[in-house]
Amino acid sequence: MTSGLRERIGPYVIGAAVVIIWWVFLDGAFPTDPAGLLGASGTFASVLVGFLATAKAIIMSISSSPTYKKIQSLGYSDQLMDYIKSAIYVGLFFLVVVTLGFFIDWKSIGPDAWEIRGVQAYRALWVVTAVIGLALYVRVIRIIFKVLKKA
Amino acid sequence: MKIKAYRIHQLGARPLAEVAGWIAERPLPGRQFGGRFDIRLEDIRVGERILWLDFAHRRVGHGPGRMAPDQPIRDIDLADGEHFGEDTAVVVDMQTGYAAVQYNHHGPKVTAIEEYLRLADMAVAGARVADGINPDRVGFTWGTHLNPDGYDRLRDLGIYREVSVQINVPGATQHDFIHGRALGQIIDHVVPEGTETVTLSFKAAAPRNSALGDQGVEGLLTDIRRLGDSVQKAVVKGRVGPREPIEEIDLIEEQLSRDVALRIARGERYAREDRWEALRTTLQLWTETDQLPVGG
Repeated sequence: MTSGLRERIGPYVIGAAVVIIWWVFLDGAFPTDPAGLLGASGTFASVLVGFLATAKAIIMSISSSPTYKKIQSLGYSDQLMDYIKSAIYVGLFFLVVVTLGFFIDWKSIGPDAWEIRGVQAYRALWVVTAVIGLALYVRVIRIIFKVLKKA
Repeated sequence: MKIKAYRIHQLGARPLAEVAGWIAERPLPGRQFGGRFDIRLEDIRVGERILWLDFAHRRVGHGPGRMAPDQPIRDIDLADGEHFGEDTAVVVDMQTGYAAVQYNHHGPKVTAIEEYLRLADMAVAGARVADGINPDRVGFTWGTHLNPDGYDRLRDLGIYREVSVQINVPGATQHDFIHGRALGQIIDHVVPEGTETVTLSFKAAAPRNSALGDQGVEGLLTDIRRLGDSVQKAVVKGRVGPREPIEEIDLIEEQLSRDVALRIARGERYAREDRWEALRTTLQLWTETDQLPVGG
């Protein structure tokens, strides 16, 4: 496996691995009243998305630097934009997931099986999106700081 | 075919024959260990004293075509997954550590072979750089070996006036993109567009009798020789005595080398056996004519 492929699929593999560990070893643990968690994660996701949008502006501002020009000539600039784009989209999707959580009545889940399964699926979706979003954010930040350091 | 002399020093725990033998036991797709150069050991033969090696890599960029006196140049059809390849043959005298290396402009260079063998040596031990292993404690160094005249002239210099080195630093290349290197990884090797070489120059102070320190220069020269093919130019200027004129020694031109005429075989390539034989006879000739001193 090339390092490029590892870099591209790494965040998604981490997301899948964490959700499996959370489900199998932590038995899908989730707060019984997650209102506080949802509020905090919504704020966190907004900050991430906001910063990533600014990151694109930072990249634009250093587009004339020798390092960025070299990255561009090697064909890597589209990849960097794709990384930023995917981090923003997953961040926005996480915001939607968090917002949906506010519409769930956490105090009266069940007794219908479909309702319990639906909430379990929501919890898994929250965990996987949060982890992937964070991993995508870390990937972008790591690269941007390297570029800025060399710009 | 041009043949150049190198001297190999073992840094790790395993001799070259053992590392090369370990690589050769693996199937072709398993013979690459990451690093900046995608080369692999293509073939090996181990004798009692001599080790024959052939390293190959994919040719990147504009490739050859075929033509005839009455035919225009045409493309050579390649199957899916096939590429043009280039190879560099090496013959090593395991007793003395000297190696005769084929010069192939498009083939794997000694710098790449050195890194490849270091990564392979680490792979044998199951070690990774990320684990905190000192990469200078594994693998081998391939130092250029000067001809006896170059050595004599260098030794005779009593006053070093100047040492200048030009080093090839291509940094990240299109090769990295083609081979799927991670963006985060290539940024570490990026040098500004158009930068190909770095020139370093150490000069003594202006007065006629001032000189660079002997030990500093000798250490520098050892480091330069260890840089192998990355060095494009390395010039030492100095005087034999205070009243003597300044002499200039070009360490690259003074590298021990030999040109051998080989028959172009089928496919317009030099056959591996012919290259190996030319390297072996050259190594033997250099040894018999005392151009490869043992010890020191």
